[in-house]
Amino acid sequence: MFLNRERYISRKKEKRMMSSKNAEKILVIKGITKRFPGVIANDNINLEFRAGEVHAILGENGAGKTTLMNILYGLIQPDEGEIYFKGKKVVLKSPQDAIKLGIGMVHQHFMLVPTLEVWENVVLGLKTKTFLDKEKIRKKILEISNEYNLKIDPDAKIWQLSTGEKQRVEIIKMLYRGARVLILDEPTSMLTPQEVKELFVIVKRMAKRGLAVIPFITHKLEEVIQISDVVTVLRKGKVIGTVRTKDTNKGELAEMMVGRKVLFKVPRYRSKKGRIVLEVKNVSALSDKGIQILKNVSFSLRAGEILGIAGVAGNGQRELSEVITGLRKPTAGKVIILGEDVTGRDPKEIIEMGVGFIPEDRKKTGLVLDLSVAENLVLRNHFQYPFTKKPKFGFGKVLDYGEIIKFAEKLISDFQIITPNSTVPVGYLSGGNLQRVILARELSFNPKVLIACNPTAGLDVGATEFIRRKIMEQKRKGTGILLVSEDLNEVLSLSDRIAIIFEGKIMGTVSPKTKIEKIGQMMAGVELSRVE
Amino acid sequence: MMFQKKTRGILLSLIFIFITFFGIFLCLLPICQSKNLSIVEIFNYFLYSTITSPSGLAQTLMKTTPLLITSLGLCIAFKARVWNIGAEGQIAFGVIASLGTCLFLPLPGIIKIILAIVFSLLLGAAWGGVAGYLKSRWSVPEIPITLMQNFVALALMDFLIAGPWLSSQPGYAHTDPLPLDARLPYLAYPLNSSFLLGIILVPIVFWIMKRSVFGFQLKATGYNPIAANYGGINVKKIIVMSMFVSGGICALAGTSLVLGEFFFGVKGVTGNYGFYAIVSTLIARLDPKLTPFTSFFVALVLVGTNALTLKGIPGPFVHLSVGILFIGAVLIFLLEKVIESGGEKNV
Amino acid sequence: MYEPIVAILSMLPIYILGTNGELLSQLSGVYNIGIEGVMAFGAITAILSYNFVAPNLWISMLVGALGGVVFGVLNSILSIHFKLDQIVVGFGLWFFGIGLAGFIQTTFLGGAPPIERFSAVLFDLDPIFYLSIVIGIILWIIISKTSLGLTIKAVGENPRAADSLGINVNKVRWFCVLIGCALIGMSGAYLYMNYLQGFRTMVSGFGWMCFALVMFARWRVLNTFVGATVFSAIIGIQTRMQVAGIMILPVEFLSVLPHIAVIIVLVAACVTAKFGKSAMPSSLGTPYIKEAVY
Repeated sequence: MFLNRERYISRKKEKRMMSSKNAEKILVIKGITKRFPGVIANDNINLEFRAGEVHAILGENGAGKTTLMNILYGLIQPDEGEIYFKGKKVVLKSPQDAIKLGIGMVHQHFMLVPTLEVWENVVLGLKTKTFLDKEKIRKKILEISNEYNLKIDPDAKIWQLSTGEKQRVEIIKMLYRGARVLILDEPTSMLTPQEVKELFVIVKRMAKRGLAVIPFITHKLEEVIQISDVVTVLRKGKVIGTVRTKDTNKGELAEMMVGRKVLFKVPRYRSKKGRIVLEVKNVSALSDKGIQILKNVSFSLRAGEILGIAGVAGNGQRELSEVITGLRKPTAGKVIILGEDVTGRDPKEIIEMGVGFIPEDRKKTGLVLDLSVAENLVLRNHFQYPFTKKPKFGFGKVLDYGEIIKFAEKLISDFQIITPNSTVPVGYLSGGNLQRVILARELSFNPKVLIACNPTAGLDVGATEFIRRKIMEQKRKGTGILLVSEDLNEVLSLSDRIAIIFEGKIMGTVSPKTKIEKIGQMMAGVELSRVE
Repeated sequence: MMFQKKTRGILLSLIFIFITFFGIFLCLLPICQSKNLSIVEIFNYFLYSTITSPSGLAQTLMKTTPLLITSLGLCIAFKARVWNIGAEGQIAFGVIASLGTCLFLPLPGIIKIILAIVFSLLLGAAWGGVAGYLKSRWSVPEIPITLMQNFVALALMDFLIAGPWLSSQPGYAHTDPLPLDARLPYLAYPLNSSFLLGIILVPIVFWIMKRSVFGFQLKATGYNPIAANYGGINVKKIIVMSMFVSGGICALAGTSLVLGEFFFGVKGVTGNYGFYAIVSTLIARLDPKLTPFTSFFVALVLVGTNALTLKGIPGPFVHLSVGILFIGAVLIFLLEKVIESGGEKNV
Repeated sequence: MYEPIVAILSMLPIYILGTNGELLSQLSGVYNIGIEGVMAFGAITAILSYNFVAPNLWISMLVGALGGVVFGVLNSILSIHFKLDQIVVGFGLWFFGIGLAGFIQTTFLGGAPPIERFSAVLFDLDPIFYLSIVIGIILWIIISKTSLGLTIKAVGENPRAADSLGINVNKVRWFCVLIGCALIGMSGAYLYMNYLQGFRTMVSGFGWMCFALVMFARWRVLNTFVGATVFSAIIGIQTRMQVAGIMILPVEFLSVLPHIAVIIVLVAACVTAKFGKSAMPSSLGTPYIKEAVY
């Protein structure tokens, strides 16, 4: 009875809010400008965010979205302009100021402590009584969870949760602190299509309850259309336009984003496929935590073809590439490269067979930042001719730096790597150039098999185009390429075939021309045979 | 860029020398005042006992030898970020191997010397390799393990010296003196040719670290073992190998002590060189070329502060000076960091 | 009558205080590799206090804790503020602490002055024994049941997440290092009073035993009690045997029993850690740098 009364009251509140929904401009920004050395990140931005509305901010990387988001959230202060919250002028000196007012942020990369439980993460940092009243906290969390349909178990440990559940914890964190404005940073980038649908339901519910929701989205136009009531497009730091979503379409939005008519297709080169260069047969493996992360994975890759592995991050892609490159021993199954069974062999031997690898995390796993550009370019084959020679005295092998530098300089020019010279530590280079170094290194020995993981993540348009072009070129040279990418569009536009991975299993292998809904279903766990 | 780094390294080492000298004499001032000693006289005596007199210089060079050898050994391990604190124990094994070979094997002198060197290398390598293996296989942290190994190795050495190898001569626990043919010849008394052993090792270790493939792999493993692994380097093997090589070289310091300085075994022969060499290595920024100079400087401080006891400065001032050396090393790293970040303070 | 139990438990406070001090510091993400130096300095300041301030053991313990804090400040400045490599900083503080302590002892105190021990209050065990257990329990309560404890754990596990919620990561770490070093200093003071009567050797090894125990306890306070008892038993029994003249092993080997125990404990802790989730605070040893905002 008690519970029913609560629901009754909240529904009444809801009805009241709906009637004033269109009136309340909860957050207004005027003339917001922010400059950084050499660039105007935000240029005189004027926007209004209303309670009960989902107002999406759309723009490419570098359009000024992140800066604007950080200003709204109090992380940085604008050089010019004012922020008004509920009609009153406010100055946000820190995220704590923002949260006190009721402006909450849900980050793209979750800010959660994996070893702690959900309820602990929710109250982290809050000024509560000295002793944690677990029962009270749990109760409040469950109330919020019920009201906004955010299904979560308050006692679960974060590391046990799925990505969608983790996001819900982040949202609850903000709602627990009384947020009335919710900023969402790339909310769908880590979710399966099913989880995206669930998120939309949650967002619409929050809007109904009178919250203002502000998703910042890079280029998922379809989602912007579905989720928002209002859309603002940013380009080069300026507001290009603000429109009601129902009055616009994808083409118009894309044009506003990029400034010219955009072709959604990418020209592709069809090549003759050769022999099988890589075979993965019934491979199973355990993750670092001891969970079964790969379950009976099988596929084959031919010379001159690009096989895309599509899937949301965390479904075993990283472990799959580690098994193929020899960094992880599978618990079952075989990996056969160029006809030879290489299961369980060391990375060194697999490299020697001609397998190239572009890892996901270029700074951590792909490069040694303290070593020079040249040394990184020969990292994989430094022990081979011609980089070693017999020393004048002593025994064993010695490095021939003359040859190494010569080799490096050629690669620097071929791959347009911007660096003062080949002897500076590679850590001085920018992101796009780091990736070029890795690409140059891996392609320099004309690999027969290339495994590329998220090759264009976080790169600007220019670098992305260059890398994709080089990958296509390599395909033409007859390399079999395994493209493991979380960017579904990238996989769709570059691959000849696509295998969808979900929870360590291959759901199906299809043509990239397949309907995206079907691919989405497979990414969410439906096997090909049972897709509608 | 690379050139700048080299001169910067030397500059920092010079600043270190200056700071520690300053620190040491700053601490001496109040002591001198309380004991009515003249600081100028103390300073002069310090220099006299270490470099301005031939006997002093010889003493300093003798002390440099084990420091230099150990320091070189540590460079190799430290480069791979394997913190070998077990040098003292590895030196002990060098002592054990040398004593065992030279006292008890009925072979001609030169053969015994060669065998002493070989066995020292082997025992030191094996002892160090244990820690390397534990680290690579089970990620057991090497600092406490190698440190504990010191105690075990020293206990073994003490046991042998006071037990089975005890001399029949009266006096505190010590072994028989080495036969004359098993001793390294003097260059110019009291400077022994064991000093040359250290000098010879410098280009060898330099070659290992800067020219060989192994050295490159050490470097890569130390900076970023994950990327090194992806690059085909067998990181686990490198960790074990680094401790092998390091342990073996450090053991040679023990050999030099027995064959070139003491000529018999006694408790305390290892003289804490295993620890003092750490600061020498850190200041040399793990560069084998600089170790002769940094080792010489550390030896200078040790000999000098020790000699000052004759002038009334209390004995443990040596320990304090070593402590100042270590703090100086940390300050130099701090200085380097501040310079690198362009003078801005990190918040 | 209580003799064997006393033998086992007499060294317990050293380990409880030392291990939990290091544990607290590491829980927030900062190593105290110089733990031996902190213990030595804590000991020497306690002795100085006893001889020059007041011959009161309680005051000495307090001063010992403050001595630890001094080194904690040094560690914090170098590791947290300047973000130097915590292992190198640790080396520096380690040998500086030992050198300084040994020097002060001989110069100003004329050798190792006998300092009285705490007299037994209950079951032949002295008050510090009970105090250390109380401190341990308080620490456990704080870490597992209060919001402060939650904050500390978050800072050690994912400082970025803590920062995003308004927690001052470096302030929390300073706090943990200072309090941790206070405990370690006290541990050193008590160690000196009851066991070491002089800094004969370069390194005593007790600090590293505590370090090993932190790993063995998987960074959980309650487990430290178990490990502390084991080590205390080893040392206690060994000392009593030496005093009583029972030599089942040559004296040299007997004296390294604790050190061998450390090796065994460490290897056991690491081998078993491979099965199951790692309990080590993820940010341990990594300085926290606020990412550039653009």
